[in-house]
Amino acid sequence: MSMSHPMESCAKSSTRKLAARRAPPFSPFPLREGGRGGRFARRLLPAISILALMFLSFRAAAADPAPQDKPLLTILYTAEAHAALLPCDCPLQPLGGVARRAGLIERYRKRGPLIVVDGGGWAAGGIYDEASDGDSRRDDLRSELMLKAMQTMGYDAVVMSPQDLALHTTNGTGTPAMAATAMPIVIKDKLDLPIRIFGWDDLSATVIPQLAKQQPGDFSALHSDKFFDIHLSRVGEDGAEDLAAATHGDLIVSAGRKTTQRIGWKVGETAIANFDYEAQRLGVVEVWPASTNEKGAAGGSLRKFELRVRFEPLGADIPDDPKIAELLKPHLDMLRKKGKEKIAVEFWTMPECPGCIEARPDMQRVAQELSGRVEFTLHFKLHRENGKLASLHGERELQEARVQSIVRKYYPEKMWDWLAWREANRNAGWEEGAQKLGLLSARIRGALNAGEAEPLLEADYELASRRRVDGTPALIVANRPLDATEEIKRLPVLRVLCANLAAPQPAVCKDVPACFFDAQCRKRGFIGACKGAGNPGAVCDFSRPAVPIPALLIDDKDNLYDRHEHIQELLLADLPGLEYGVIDISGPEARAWIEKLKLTHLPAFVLDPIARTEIGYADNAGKFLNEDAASKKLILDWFKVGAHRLANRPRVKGRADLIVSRFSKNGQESLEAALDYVKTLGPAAPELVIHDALYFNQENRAAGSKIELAAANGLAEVEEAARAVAVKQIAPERYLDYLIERGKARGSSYWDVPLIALRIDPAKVREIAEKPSDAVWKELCAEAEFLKSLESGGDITFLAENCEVIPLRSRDDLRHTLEAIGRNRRQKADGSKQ
Amino acid sequence: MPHAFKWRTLAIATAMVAAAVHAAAEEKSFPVVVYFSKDDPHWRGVEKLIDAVAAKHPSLNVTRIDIDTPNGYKLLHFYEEQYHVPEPGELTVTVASIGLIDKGERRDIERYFLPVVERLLGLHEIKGKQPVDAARLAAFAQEIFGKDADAVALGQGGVDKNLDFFRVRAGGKDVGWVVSAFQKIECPICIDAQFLIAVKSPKLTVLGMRPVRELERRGEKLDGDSAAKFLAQFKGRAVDDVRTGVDAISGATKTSHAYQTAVFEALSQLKLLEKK
Repeated sequence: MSMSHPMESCAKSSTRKLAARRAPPFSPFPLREGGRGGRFARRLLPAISILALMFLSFRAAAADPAPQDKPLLTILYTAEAHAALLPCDCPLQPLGGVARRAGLIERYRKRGPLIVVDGGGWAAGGIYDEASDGDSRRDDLRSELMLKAMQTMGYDAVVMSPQDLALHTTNGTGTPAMAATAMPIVIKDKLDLPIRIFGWDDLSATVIPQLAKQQPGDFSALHSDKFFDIHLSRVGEDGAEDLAAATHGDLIVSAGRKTTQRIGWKVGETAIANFDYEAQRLGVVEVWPASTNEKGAAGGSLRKFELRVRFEPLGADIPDDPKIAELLKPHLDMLRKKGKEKIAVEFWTMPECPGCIEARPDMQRVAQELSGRVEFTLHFKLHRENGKLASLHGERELQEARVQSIVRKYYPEKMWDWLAWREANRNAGWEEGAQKLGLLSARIRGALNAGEAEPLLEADYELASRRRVDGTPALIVANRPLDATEEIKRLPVLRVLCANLAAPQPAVCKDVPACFFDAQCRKRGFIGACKGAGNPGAVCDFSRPAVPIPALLIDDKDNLYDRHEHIQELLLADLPGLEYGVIDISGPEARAWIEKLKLTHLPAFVLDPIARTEIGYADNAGKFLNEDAASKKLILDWFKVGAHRLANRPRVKGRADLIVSRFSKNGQESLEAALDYVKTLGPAAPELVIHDALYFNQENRAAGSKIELAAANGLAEVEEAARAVAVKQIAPERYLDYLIERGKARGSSYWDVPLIALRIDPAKVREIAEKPSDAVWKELCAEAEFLKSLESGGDITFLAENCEVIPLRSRDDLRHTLEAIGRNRRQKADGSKQ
Repeated sequence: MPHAFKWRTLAIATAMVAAAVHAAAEEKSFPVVVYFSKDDPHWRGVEKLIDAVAAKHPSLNVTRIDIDTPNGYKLLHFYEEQYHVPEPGELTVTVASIGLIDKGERRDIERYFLPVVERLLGLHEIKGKQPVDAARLAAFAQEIFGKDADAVALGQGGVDKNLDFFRVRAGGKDVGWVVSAFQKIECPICIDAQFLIAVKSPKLTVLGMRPVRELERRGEKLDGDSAAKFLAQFKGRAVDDVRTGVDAISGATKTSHAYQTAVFEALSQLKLLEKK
């Protein structure tokens, strides 16, 4: 099933960054957004702008929280840091680094009771270590420094990844803190309950399902409500969920693998907190008294606490901890990112994707030119239909993906030849290609018959999800997606690869331009220019400082979906001097700005008009910014950047509206999936309301003439919507069953069949629907009005909590969003009981 | 010798092979399994080779598995999965738990099948500690420390007494040590490591090394340049930095590891002896 938002249908993810939440009210660094809050304030004060005053008042209010605003306990967590000691090598938002991390931890330590834990993967090495250049001595140094830094930061517990363990056992190093195992570490002085910290390493995946099978009595220690239990888990998100179901712990810190972009979620009453890669953001879990005591999923235990999970970006506004800075200082030259000896490149394709076929000769040539330094592997972008793997161009493409996955496994050296042969012989059987290329048919046939392709393609499916590959062709270079602005052609790809290779570089790199256009020259605070663009001697020139631009970001901290970091990245690319503060929709200042500037969607970016003086403004950011005539402020066009939160609709926690074209495959499938998830979620389900996607027909409509309704699939679909209203009137208890039953023969003119199957009288339905009463007509018009008010359309529109139009890209997206809304519904219900 | 195993399976493979060799010593019999496809153009040639070796060594218990059949392929796949074979081949032969493959230009079966069988049968002299050759040791000491150097035996040390220590005097002074080091390699088809180490006193740095048992790569003697390059890595090593790894001789990681371990052990022991 493909589900897309109209504004995102062609969008390809250009960044792997998480959509993190805004600054929380209790943050020791309340204006840390983008890492430039402090500088923003300093620059803005002389200008005495309203923006600056707002910014400062927000800062003052948040910097000194009242004692009752402090949580009972704060748990700070990291995982998968992979010895990333310095801020990331990101040109615009270089987040992370252990010195900043230590600085932030120290601030939290002063605020109140604190536990600091790590879910493992802190040492250098392994396939996810981007900073490794293959020099084992440098990697050992990185690991050693990370170890010492973590020891200095006062971690309470860690669990060890295979790389961490190898370092510990082979090099005889210590550990960053006490190693948590199935025998917990107990901490008694931080909460009114003893805190137990369990550790589940990479090998625990086989053990955890066994835990779940045991009777609770066998694991009474794990189920006890006399402790506050934290589990550090390295078995990925699914494993963390299994662990939550088996142990009913209070908190699971999920590490190892990440298959979604969720920050925190719940299984039963257990909170799960996801990690941030390279610890560019510090994980923060605050433990508050529960709004009400409720029965836990284990049946019997009383939950005393409510856990809130978020990330704190480690931006430049967080001062380095002096001790850690001193530790790193002698090694900075060694630590700064250097070229790699070897680079792994994933080439994501679909066998019949025209762009992939076009890109193949160039990629093959690059692979040959950089042979020995760059290793290409082929991967397949697939999706799921009815639980099974499927390929965009159909069954034939899926079958070819199976064959290619077998060729990749057994004849990696012949992979390019196979692709070239297949391009020239689209309709030939694979046996012909095997014979032509000298591959043993018995091997391919045997592997296909034995089903060896399925786990290979499943692995690609999971990897694509992790990598956020949402289109082909796509390249992942050293575990990172190639920037969306890069063309998948020989020279642009060579440019990226050569820039990442350590000296001595392959001969072909000598003539590869360092840049092709200005946008490839990015640096915060500077306007980059590509001198000699596209020529062998091209260089990025950063001699021109960017114009400092005060700005304001208005957002909603309760958003279930957020892409403000992505939007911000896009803005910074054009306006690298942007300095902004953040305010939340719940505050009076935000409401005042929304009213004054007539803002309709959040996140909203409001820029000082000085932005107009930035070089290239009119051709770049100027195309996305509109001037507010009264205030002269520049406002980012919500539609062009996909801002999704409707600023003037109140949040109704726990409600979900799904507006679908039931005659479309995507629409009907999303409806069925949503109803299925709601059913399985049980009491944790949100309030789900299904709507038919109807529109007002504006074509050739004379003034004063009767309103006409339309639907994507014509009049028949409008009539079907009327029948649904009729069913709702006649047999409201069977309404949802009707939607499912009707979907079995989607769009069929035999509309009476599902009614008969559900024992609903077709004649009655016909009577109501054929000549609709005012009430029915009014209801249909209300549906059209509702969709119009959302300024949305298409096969599927998902409105979360009455105010967020959330793009859904997969069934998983749908499920996770419904789960999140369901949780809010329960919390709301608890609150109202009190 | 060629191998189709990774380190993670080495322990299992070694244990199984050790058992097989023990059995072979009594019965001179171990299993040979040949996975083939009739479509493979090299199959006929390989079949003849296997028949010839089996005729020469009748104790071999040869099984042929046709991977053109579903069951045959399943058996091959099972074997490859079980032993995490990193580079599956087109023709595969297992001799006890040693795997050989042919694929494209790589013709390991034709090249190594006979020597692997004969090494497993114990027909090649590749195992065990050889007695110290006094003349060879004296020549090595003089080559390193000067013509007036004299090496005097001080006794044995190390695990299983695998190290023989000799004090070297020259010009009336203690100038260093020569250690005859032995390191057993469990892999039944690999030649054990045995070599001389010259160590300077009192700093205890390695001055030079000389193999007693030959350095091999894939069952064949290492060429002079490669051997010199490998041994040169140890020159200048001191007791405190011996944990730094050595670059393995390609295809002979066990030998490299054995050398590194023995050098570390020898220098550690010398540190104690030097204090005395």
